[in-house]
Amino acid sequence: MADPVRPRLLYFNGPWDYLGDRMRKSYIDPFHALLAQDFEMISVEGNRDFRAEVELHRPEVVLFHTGCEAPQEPEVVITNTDAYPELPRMGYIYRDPFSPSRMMAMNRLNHWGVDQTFTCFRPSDAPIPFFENTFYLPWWIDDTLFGDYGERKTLPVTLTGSGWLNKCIYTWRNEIFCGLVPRFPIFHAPSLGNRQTNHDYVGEKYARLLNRSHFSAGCGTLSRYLTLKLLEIPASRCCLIAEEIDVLKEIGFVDGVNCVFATGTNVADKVQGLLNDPTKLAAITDAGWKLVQERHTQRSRRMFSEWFQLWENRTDGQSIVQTHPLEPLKLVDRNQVKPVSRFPTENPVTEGLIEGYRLMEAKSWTPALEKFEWILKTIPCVAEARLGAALCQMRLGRPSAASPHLGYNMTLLVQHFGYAHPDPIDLAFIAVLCIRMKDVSTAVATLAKYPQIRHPALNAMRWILAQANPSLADQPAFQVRQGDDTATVLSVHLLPQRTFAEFSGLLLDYLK
Amino acid sequence: MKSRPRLLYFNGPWDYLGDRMIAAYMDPFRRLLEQDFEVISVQGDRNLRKEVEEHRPDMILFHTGTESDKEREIRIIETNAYPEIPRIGYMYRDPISSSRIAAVNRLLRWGVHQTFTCFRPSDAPSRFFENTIYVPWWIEEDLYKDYGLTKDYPISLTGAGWLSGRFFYTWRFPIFSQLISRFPVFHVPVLENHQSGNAYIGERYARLLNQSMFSAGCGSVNRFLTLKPLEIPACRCCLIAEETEVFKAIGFKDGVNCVFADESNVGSKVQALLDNPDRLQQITDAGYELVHQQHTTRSRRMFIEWYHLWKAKGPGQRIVQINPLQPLQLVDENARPMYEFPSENPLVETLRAGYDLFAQKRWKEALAKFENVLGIIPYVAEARLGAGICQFHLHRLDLAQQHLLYNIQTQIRQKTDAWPDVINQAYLAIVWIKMGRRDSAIALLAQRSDLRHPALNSLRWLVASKKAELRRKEPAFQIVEGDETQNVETLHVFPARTFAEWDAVWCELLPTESNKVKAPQVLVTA
Repeated sequence: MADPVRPRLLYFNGPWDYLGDRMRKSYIDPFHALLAQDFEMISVEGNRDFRAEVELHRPEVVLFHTGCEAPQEPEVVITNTDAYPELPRMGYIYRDPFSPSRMMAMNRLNHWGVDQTFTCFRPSDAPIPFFENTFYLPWWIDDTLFGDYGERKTLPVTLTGSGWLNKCIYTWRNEIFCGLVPRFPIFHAPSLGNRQTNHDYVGEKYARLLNRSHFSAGCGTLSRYLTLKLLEIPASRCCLIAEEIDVLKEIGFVDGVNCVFATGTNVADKVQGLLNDPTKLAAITDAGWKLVQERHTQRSRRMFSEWFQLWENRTDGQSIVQTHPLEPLKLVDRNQVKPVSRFPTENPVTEGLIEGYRLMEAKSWTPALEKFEWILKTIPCVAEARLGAALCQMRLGRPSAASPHLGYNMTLLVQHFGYAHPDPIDLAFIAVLCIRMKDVSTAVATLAKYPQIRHPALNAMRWILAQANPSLADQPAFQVRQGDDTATVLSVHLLPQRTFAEFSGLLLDYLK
Repeated sequence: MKSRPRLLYFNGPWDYLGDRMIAAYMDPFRRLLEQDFEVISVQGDRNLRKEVEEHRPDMILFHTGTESDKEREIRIIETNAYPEIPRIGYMYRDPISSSRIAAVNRLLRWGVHQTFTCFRPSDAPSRFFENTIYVPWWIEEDLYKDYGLTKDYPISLTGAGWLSGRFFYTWRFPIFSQLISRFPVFHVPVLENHQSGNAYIGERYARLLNQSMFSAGCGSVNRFLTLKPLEIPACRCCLIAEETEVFKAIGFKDGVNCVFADESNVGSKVQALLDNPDRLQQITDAGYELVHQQHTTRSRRMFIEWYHLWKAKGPGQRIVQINPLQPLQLVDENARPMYEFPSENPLVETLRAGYDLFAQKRWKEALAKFENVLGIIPYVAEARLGAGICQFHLHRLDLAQQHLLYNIQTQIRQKTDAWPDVINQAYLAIVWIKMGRRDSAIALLAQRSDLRHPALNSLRWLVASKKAELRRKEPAFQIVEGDETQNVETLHVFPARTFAEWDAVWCELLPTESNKVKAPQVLVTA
């Protein structure tokens, strides 16, 4: 029966049938439950007519979930989204902050006209304008699932998920695995692709596995942000072994008090020390459990409801801000200086990218290239690093070394993810590269291939080519006027250029 | 029980071993003996005469210890007393361990009539092992059994070798790599033999296997029977194993009572059985039946069989083992019955191939074989010696010296250097002479003047023939030409050679030495 107190939320999401059990039980179902604690949920999946759904359900607020990163993720089509513009609209992005798949999520939210985007990562993790005013929803645990089941501790150490067996985005994990596995019995449950239902350690069985283990370990990936594992472990009254990162300290973790911060070189000794001192191990485990159960359950994540209430109550000239993800959202005067977020931004990937682009501005191509290559060595899919590396290689006179980077970005979006188009800035630079490699016909074909997309970078490149080759004027894609700043799509890239004029200057530089 | 013969069992002490070793190897061996003998166990340094007089045994058994850094070599004195009491010895070592040298020589000194081993005679190519009796591993059925536990773990992998690529258990790491990336795996590492670390030993280990759907084991690079391939099915856990001749010979069949797998198919074979629980149950049950029917303590009676045959044998008869799963037999002294158990062992085959090439003087090809062995197990003494001699012939004296010194250093590390391998010593002396380090070579040959072996005797004699005062000053060099005395065993795999044959070998290696001066006979016999 509907609760009259809770606002009605029309929730566009899914379908989720391309995901395995683990993804649904860990990320999709708990998100639904989080919303349901504050809203009367009307969940609609797949392709929809926005106007018809609103007229059918009469919601007070709308939320669009932008899906989940997995091969064969369907791109849902929601039509008539220009209807009912007065209805507050929220969007949620659940992606890795370095994932190129953000591009489609950003573009869809843009088309759907959302008033506020929420993300599973910090705005600072994706330093482009789109994310500047997004709200960060730190992970939480569902306390009806992750708790103390009173299981007997039969496993010394359990390691679950990805990254323990080789170096990948979880750079800390492999060294921890190598430190622990020769010395302690370890139960390892691998994570397979997001689509697969691989073994039974999901949901309650996963929580009970943690509850049976003295220790389990988790990290914040190379990006050093909050992952779910870091909360699931202590919530299941299991001692957390973690990498010492700013985010964990900010949300209440203290080494030797409610978790164990460790490195590959000291993890075995720290674990042995606590196995030899069961009283201390129990004290740390209990304190970790208490921290998460008190501060990091679904009960502590109310920003969707807060936002809706503030949205309803705001006056003209006010905007809603998040100054700390563990504190309530606030209304501030729009003319007031935007309050600064007080949440730690530590993130070696982002810092590497920003530094790489700063070095490019200073024309320090080789040091910039080193930054990008350092990132790509660990996370090959970072589109910003790929573009940066390509531009450096072009500047260093090695266009053939630039080509694989731009090709990677294009292939990933169009073939791997199956999106309708690549990133517009990548597309513009692919054309530049073709011209540099004396292949003008491929440059023309590349720019002509997606005539429906407009972006200042793409507009500028098409205009430049059309100027040099007037016969292109017949093709719709090349019918661009000078100074056309139209953007129908957003890019994930970090280049400071924004306008047609700025991009045409940049592109001409690269064409030299 | 009055009907059981009294066995005086010299063994231990075992206080240097960790819980795992005692629970898995020492205690079960004593219980194996106890099913047929009244066992009087005496540990540490002992006087054989006194012990026999005190206990009046029907038979004596010497256990030669286990391989561990902290093992102490015990002393048993007056072993020449009561030679009429049958004496047997038991060797529990890896068949390629350099530590065999001490065990072999102690058994020789103690005058055992028969040696029993935990490996096949064919696993240790030295001639000493030709007539040893193999006791294949067994499980204790009241420990390794079905505890009726819930299958909590899809796969458990216990013990050594799962984490690194090339060592003794060469099959394990590729299997681990395939399984751990696809299935939840509980890995329990092995600790050193003297350590008591994690608690998965004895019943807790058996229960862990019983809680697991699968566990895996292999025969090591030697492809012999290890304990794990019996413990796993005995606990009603499906065995994943390398397909070896020995496993097939003792009754394992792929897809019937175990899963034979390699890295290319282990993932799909396991997944297929996880998807077909009835079939998995059938295989698991059949493995359980096989081990409980054929490979428990009850099926390993060769000690008592030997005792009865020894008592019954007439002149001109001897006891032989034709198949380790069948009773021992009495045969005519000259009979040479065929051994009916598989000898497959890639390491030993490579080693033998190396010595075959060596015999044809194909030094580079032989060296490649020896290096192949050393790449897997660096301390195989036979391969070190072979590689050292090949390098000598290839005029790389430094490398030759390194191999031969490695053998000596291994013995020092294993605390078996009280039993130097005389053939290794002789070849090192040759290398040093060739390097111009004659004094070092003489000092080496002068050590342990009590040791006699035709190889050593002839080299000492040859060297002394160039330097007559050696015979006056150094007892080790007081050798008569043609002295065939041998009071030590060697691990090495050369054919049996006489003093003269060894002399010919040394002269070929050291042509400048062959112009020797005959020693005055009076000094030699003095």
